[in-house]
Amino acid sequence: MKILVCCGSGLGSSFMMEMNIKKALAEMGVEGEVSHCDLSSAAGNKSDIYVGTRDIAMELTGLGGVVVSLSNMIDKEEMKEKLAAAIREVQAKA
Amino acid sequence: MLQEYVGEGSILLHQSCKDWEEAVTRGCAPLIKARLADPSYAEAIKANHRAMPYMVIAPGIMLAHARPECGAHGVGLTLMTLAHPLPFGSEENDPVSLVITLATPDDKSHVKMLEALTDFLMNGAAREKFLAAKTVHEALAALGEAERV
Repeated sequence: MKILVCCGSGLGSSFMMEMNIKKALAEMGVEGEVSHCDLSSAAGNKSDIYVGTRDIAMELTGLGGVVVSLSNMIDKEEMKEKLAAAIREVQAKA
Repeated sequence: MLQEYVGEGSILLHQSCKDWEEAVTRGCAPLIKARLADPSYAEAIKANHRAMPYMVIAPGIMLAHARPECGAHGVGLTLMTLAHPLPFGSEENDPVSLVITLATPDDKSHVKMLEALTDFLMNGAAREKFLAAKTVHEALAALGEAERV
């Protein structure tokens, strides 16, 4: 499972989300490779799941993966819930 | 430890700003004064925000930053609370009452600071205490609280 977190500059919010997603995956017992980048590099970085805050997420549709749109980046429950749903979707496709 | 990164004058409390642009300018000022960023860094953040308000990362919170090549020279952080919450153009997370401004000279140097900042932001009680702080002393105590958890 490859998860790519994107933000506008690739060093603030995406980095922060990457840390939280890694913790969430560990808690959920899911193995995954999580990385982050800026929006312009996202297309060249094929992934199963793309994560971004709402404005960013709109730009991530059409890249071929499942898109997770987060409105509150520091809400652990929102993140876990949406991430779990995306993982199920990827697994169903496989 | 988030306090490690909060230099003198980089906690600004109950600031009155007329709009988000003034808030960004003020949040950058301590970083510029400490020579961690150029004056142009504030303009780069504003341009970022005008393009897309994604830096309003959670209800009431903006994480203001730009790329290192936009004039950031060192790792630094400013934490600023607003006297009156302001609209920042974010559909879901307005109005903003906490503006965090960060600088990093490259893609990696700020990792530890970001980890500490994440711990603080995800600690609701510490965050509320920080927002209510009237003195720098109280604000620092709120940051310290986030760490003990």
